[in-house]
Amino acid sequence: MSSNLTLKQLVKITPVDEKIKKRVIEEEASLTDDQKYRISRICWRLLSLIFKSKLREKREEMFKEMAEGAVEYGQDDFKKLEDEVLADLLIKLDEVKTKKEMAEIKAQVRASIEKEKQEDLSPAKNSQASVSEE
Amino acid sequence: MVKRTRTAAQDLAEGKEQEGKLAADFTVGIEKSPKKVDLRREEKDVMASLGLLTEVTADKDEITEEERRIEEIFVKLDKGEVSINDLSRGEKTQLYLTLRALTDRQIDNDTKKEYFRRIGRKHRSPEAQEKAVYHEKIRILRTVSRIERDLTGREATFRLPDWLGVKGDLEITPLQDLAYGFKYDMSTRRPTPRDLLKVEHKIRDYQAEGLSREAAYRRAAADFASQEIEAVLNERSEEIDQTKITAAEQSFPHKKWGKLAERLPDLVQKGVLERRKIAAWGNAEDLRKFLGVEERDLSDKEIIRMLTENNPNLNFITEDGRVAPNTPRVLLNRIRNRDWDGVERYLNRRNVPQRHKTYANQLVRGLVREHSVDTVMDALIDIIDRKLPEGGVEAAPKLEAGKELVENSNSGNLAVLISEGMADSELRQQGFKKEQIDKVKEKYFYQDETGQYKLKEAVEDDEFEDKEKEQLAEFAVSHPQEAGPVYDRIALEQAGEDFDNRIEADDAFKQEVLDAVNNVCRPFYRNFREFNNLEQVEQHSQEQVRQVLENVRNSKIRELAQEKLNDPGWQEDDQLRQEVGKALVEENPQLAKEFNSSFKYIKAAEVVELGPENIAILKQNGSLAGESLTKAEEAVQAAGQELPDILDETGPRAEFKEDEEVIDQLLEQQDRRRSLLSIAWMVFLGILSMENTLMHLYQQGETEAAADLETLIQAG
Repeated sequence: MSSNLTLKQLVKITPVDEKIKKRVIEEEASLTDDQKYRISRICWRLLSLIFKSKLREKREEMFKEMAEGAVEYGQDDFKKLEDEVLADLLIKLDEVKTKKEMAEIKAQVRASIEKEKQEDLSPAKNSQASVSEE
Repeated sequence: MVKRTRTAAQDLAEGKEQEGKLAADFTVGIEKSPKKVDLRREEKDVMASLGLLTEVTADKDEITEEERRIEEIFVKLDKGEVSINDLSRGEKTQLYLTLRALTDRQIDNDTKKEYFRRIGRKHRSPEAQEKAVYHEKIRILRTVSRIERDLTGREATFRLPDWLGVKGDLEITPLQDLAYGFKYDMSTRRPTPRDLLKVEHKIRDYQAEGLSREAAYRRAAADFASQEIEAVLNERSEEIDQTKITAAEQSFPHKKWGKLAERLPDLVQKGVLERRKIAAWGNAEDLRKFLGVEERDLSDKEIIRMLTENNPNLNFITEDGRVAPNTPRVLLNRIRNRDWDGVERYLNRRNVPQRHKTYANQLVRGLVREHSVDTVMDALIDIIDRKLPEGGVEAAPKLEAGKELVENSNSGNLAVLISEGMADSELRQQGFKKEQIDKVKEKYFYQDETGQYKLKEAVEDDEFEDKEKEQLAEFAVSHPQEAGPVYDRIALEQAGEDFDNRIEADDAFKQEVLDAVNNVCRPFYRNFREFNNLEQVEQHSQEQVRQVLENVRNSKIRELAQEKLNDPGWQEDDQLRQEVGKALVEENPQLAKEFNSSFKYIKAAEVVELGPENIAILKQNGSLAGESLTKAEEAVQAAGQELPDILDETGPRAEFKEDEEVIDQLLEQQDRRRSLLSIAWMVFLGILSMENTLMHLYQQGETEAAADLETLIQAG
């Protein structure tokens, strides 16, 4: 997976154990390309799982509010929800200063999550694809 | 009769295309007169699914708040005041949430009858009725998805539960999603119930700390991801260990391979642990990296040669192109003809598909795709074996040790999977060979009266031998046809011994034999001088005479054997029966298999071979319990090992006995799907703990039911 984020940046925004983050950052220079690649895959997958979980949670809240008659959300609200959840994920990117960098990373996160979503629908194909990519 | 004020056609006419489509979906027949429009079929489905067709008139106190709320919507629908399409988004949401939660209520038998009565359908047989309900249910579930899409404008997250078996609607619940894990190369199989349980446990742990379900889910995901990253980081230190091969050794390739051979058990162990990583190998470099060698130690040409030469398990270089689709015929022929120089020349031309760079890469990829990891490991062992200098290999015996290690480790994993009720076909999909599966089943499992595989009971050596003898005796009795020739043979053997003993000790018998010899010889000699003793006969110069004695001896032995066979007491001797049973099992593989699959005991020391972790899992899933567990634990301790704590056995589980009885009673009901729904409801309402319910179902071997339950609950 080509990524403009460095492994260090990626690990920093991924909510894995702090000790693990520290180890990755300290040992990055001595890791092989394969190890770096696999660690980045794990990070993206975790971000994707978190994104989906948050989306589910928010959607359920909205459904509940609608069912109770408190609020009426339109389709647009549900569509915006994805952006909101994504933005929430990116809040932790405080290290990234420029707008351009932020836009690039946002695009990467979205692409990764979209890819995950597609792979989720066909797990058997997923494995084939992974092998083929080699 | 129900009135409608709007139709799909009206919706469309008003330009509400999207909503019109939805209305059209719901509409079966549109009548022109609003007064005569019948309740649309899917609306009926919906009502039937909620049991409202029968429960609308029921005692109001008995229905839940959710049902009361949705009933209000249905009353409006029933009165024709609104169509589903006219519902507000809030009402649609109510409908969606309630349908999602109650989606299986239409299974109720009374509702089923009422439903078919109301829509005027007659199904002659209960099977036809069941089938019709099944199809109606799928349609209702699809309706739920459609409403969600309508509400959110997004792909529905509510998909058909996979237990419905509807093709093309594969559902992945969040739990399954997490259970797939984090390795990019791991999705070669769907998560097993054990995987799901592991994830569920983790989530439950965090829920117990006060987190919401989703928050706990995220925390669990982060934990698993941390573990995976740590494993990747730790690989580095393993690799450093591998490079302990010194520079001096590197200059002597034989020593290097010898060193590798010495480390083979570790290497094989690593292979077993990293099955999934191996399954994703895409090139020859991966193979070299696993072995810790470089291209100069093991060239592409050598890999091709070793993977294909003299290896019956690797005859995958076929023209059907499954393994090496782009491999030219000329190269295939060179490989088949063992024209290795020709292969090398071809490789040097580098005229190969760009993706794989070399044919060796393709072959390695083919090896792992077309074969189990065990075969891959066999191939590696073979490679190391062939790289070692002939005759000078002290490490060679360890190759066998490595193979044994693979077998033992696999046996443990297999035993766990079999105990969890995994079918042979699924085991094969996971890369286990049929022979392995049969071997493990034969050694560690017996079949109960219903044909289910149960783990054999661990007993001490003495007890095992007693039980085995007892069972062998019974086996001989229960197989009279096969046992007959064995009894004959043993009778003859015993009669032979009897004959020799009596010749030694019984003069009358000796004389009897001598007389028989004289009687046979007398007519053949004109001046026959009778023999005075058997020694004279034995030492006689003529072969025929000595043969006469032999014939008489054989004849006498047959007589003695027949006497034994005619004696009912002889055949009823326990020791003899044991001997016959043992002979049957030893001499006939088919009978041995039959005996082993019915014999309930195993030596505790043999259970230890499954490995402490697998034994702990067998303990956890209830396959190993009671006295058998105690014996196995003692044996594990005696072997200097320790059972790891897989799950906490204390706490709420200890208080779960009563609930287990409730679940068992529900499972015993005739309508299995209904039983499952009832259990799901109880879990939903918090009456039963999901964790404990799943655990109990797995312990009872109800893995399918457990997976269905989990799916149902996840589906909402």
